[in-house]
Amino acid sequence: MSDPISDEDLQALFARQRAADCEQAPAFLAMSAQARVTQLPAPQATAPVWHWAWSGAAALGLALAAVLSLYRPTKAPTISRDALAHELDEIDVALRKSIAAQHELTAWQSPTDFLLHPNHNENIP
Amino acid sequence: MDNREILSQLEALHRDAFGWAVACCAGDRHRGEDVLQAAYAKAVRGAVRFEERSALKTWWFGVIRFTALEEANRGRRWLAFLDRWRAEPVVQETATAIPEDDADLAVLRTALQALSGRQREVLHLTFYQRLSVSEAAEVMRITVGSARQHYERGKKHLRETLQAQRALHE
Repeated sequence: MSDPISDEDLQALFARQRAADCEQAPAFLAMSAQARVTQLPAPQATAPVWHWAWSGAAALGLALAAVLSLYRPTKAPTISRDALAHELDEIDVALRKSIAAQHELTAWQSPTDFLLHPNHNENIP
Repeated sequence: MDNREILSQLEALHRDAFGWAVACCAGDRHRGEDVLQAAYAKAVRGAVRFEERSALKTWWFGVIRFTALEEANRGRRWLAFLDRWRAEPVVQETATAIPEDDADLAVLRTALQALSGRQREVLHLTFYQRLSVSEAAEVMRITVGSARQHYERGKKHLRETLQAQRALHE
């Protein structure tokens, strides 16, 4: 079983790595001189323009669809002339029946209705 | 502080900055060099400005880290673009091999690659660059608590891996 690795062991390892890297580091003067002639890459936009264009087009499409569905003219159901005439006849018959029934109701009299009539109250003192 | 002054001060940090740039590129020396070059270009052109709100080293390391992230994103986009046009998938370039003279260092590099990016960064900044955990947090733009968590977990993981490697060689 090997000894546990301490913080000092880790530091020593990293220090060796650091020394190895330092030997291979490129010269500062060369890099800074190159930096003066290096073209900087275009700054990165947080969101490319075409992302916004796609989102805008999608939103416009949705809005158009919503407007079209709201204002779409409602078509009246197509009924033939004969069917319409038949329907009107049925309504007429039903109306007549209703009026006749109403007449019957108003003509109805109670069998004891005569008792309420004043002519039948002569014998009462 | 103008660009010339900054450049003269950055010279003193050059070797450390190179080590950090390589670490930000997962140990790839060529990419690390490109990233450091791009960061110097930003400093020369005034695209980044040191406002003395932190130490120069933490500010500069933050610039390098951000530049490495930018380069990585560009690389990913370019690879995705190539993938659309090529039948076979593009294999991402792995870390550049360097002449091996120290087996322990090779083990360390392999063990570091097994860590998460944040853990690798915080361990590099504390052990290699000798920054404090709070300074590392500043460079990484995370809270000190979060940096400490990455530090502890990364150290534990690194120890375990190194221990296992040692046991394997004994």
